[in-house]
Amino acid sequence: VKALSVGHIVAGIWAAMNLGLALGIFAFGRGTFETWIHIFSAMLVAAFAGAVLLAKRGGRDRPQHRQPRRATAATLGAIGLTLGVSGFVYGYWLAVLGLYPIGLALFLLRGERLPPGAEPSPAALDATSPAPGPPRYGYTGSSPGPSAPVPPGHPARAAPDPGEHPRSKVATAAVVVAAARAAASLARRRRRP
Amino acid sequence: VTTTERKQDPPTRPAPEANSIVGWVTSTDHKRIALLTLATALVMMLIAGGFAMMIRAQLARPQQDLLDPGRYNEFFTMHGSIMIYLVMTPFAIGIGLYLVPLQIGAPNVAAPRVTMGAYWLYLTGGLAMLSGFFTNAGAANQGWYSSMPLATSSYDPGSGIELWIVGVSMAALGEMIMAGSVLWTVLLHRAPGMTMLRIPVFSWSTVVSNLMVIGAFPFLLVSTTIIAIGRVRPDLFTHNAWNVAYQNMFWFFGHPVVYVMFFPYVGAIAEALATFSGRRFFGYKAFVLSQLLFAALSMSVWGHHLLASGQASNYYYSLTSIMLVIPAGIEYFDMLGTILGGRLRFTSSMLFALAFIPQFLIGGLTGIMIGTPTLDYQMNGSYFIVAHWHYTLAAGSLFGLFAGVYFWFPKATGRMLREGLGKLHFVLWFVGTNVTFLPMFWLGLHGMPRRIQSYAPTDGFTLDNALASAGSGLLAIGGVVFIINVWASARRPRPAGPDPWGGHTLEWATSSPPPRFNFTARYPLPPVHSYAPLLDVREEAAKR
Repeated sequence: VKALSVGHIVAGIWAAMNLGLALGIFAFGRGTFETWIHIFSAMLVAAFAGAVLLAKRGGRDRPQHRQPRRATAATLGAIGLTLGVSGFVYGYWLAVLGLYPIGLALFLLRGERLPPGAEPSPAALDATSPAPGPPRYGYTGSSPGPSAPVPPGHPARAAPDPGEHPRSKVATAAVVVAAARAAASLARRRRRP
Repeated sequence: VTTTERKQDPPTRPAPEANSIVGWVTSTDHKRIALLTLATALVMMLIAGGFAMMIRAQLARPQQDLLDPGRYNEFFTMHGSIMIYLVMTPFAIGIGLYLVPLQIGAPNVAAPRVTMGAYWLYLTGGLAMLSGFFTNAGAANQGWYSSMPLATSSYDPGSGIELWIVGVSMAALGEMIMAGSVLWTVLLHRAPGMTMLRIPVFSWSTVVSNLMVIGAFPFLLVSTTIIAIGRVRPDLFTHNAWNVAYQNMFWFFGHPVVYVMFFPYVGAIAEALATFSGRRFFGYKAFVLSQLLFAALSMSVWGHHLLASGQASNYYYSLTSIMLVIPAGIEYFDMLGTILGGRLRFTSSMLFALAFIPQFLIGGLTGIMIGTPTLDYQMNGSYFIVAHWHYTLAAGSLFGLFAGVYFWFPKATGRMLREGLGKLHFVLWFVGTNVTFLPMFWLGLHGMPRRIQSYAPTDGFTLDNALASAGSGLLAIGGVVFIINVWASARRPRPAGPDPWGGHTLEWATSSPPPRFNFTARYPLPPVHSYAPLLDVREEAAKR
């Protein structure tokens, strides 16, 4: 028992309690549907617990110092998803429209994380003082753990070199084709009486 | 690090976290995402409160025509839907998003970008729900739990319900992602020394609450999908199996969500009680175990919502429902054990926390009453249910919410709220809540059904309804006092230090508001030896 972590024990107790309760429905003479709902729910939690255990085995159970710089892609993705689902109300053309922000989100996703080695991240410089008065969200402090000043020239000092991620030829070609089509469409509309 | 090094090496300000609108809406800071969520939830609460005021104005006297029946249906549906899907649940998850990384000593939440996307799903979902008012047929009007087959296109062809389906699905998905992100952070990104049994009480309540979100919220998505299918193929619900399946699916979500809207506020109350009693929280391990037991049981009581339909086992669901008094009793014992013998400070936060204890007891005990089949047959569909529900969520969880707001507002903003205005808010709400919701028990016992737009003078409901409406006026005035308090704090700030209350947990070790990654060389993480690390530090200092 000593070798088990509290997390394992909690997950075990949770699973046992749920199984007992799910079987309780059977004992009281109800149908299988309700039992299966309960078991399926316990399986969802178990799947989450399994993912946590896998991450733990992969050595990811420590404070996370490497942080993303912005969340534009996530914002666009959420807007795209909402547009897509709104297609249910206003017609499926809206669902197609939702693909554009999702595409843009995928395009932006790569540049939002700092390159490996940028630790602590640019927002985590040490030895800086809090701003004098509120709002103080611009304050750039360090992450927990052993803090050390970031040396000059460290990759954390600057945004990643855009040359590190050259735009792929396919993406460039796609942008050129889309721009040409948009221009042609505009030109066609102008000719109309 | 010396001053010389500071001069040689000036700090850089990262552009993405600038104090601009773009900086906020694309932020990856868990505190900003949480503040956006909490602010959105408070705005939604104002809207839902406005609907409640309209409902109470309509019912203040018999046979009034302020709202026609159709509009009345829309208002009670949207009041309930907004309060559950867009206020109490996201606020409960959002307050965890703000505090849990601070309390466990993590620099950020595990998946900040995904969490920001989740906020957008929640916001756009809420806007979709509200946009129903701008459609020709009006907003959704089928009740917050969408009774089937009432919500099919045969009975209600307007697009308001469809917008409600989209909105609820999006908001629920966003809330689920946020909860998963916070849970992942607790399980994997705790600071060194912060073991699972050193996690503060509030964070534990968030862990348990988020476990329920993972286990139950997918069933809401299944339920909204069933309603969506019902919109396209209304004949589906002529087969009763689909109605029963929907009821089971929905209430499998619908009951645990009550605890999702409750546990984090109990956690907030536990922190406030311990801090303002000057005592370590009593019975920590029993509290943790009771929360786990509470959560497990809460997943197996959904059938008591179907008792009156005859589609659920009376014995099983009434047994599990009544068993809920065991973990609830342990929590009450812990809360009372914390304040007994303490040196109490009656701040606004403490007053809200203390009032929670008897008020939620009324909500909880009447829940046990209606979890008993014989009583449920009598009470079901009456105002007794409305009274029970509001004693649980308004007199209970909302008081916990404000205990938390008054407690952590200085931490989040670096400014103190005015204690005088806070106490006025408390008095208005304490009186207003009980004057509003207590008469509803008598209304239910005298046979007033819920969701009726009017009643006759001869029904005998006039006095109790007038009282309830007068009480809701006090609640509205209390709400205005709170807004004035926040406004006064913004206009003429009174700075809060890092620890204005003498808190016990790690968030009070850092600056107010906390820096980007929560702890710095200037505000380092203290050593963690228990669930009250700052109290440990003070006790060690006192020994010396």
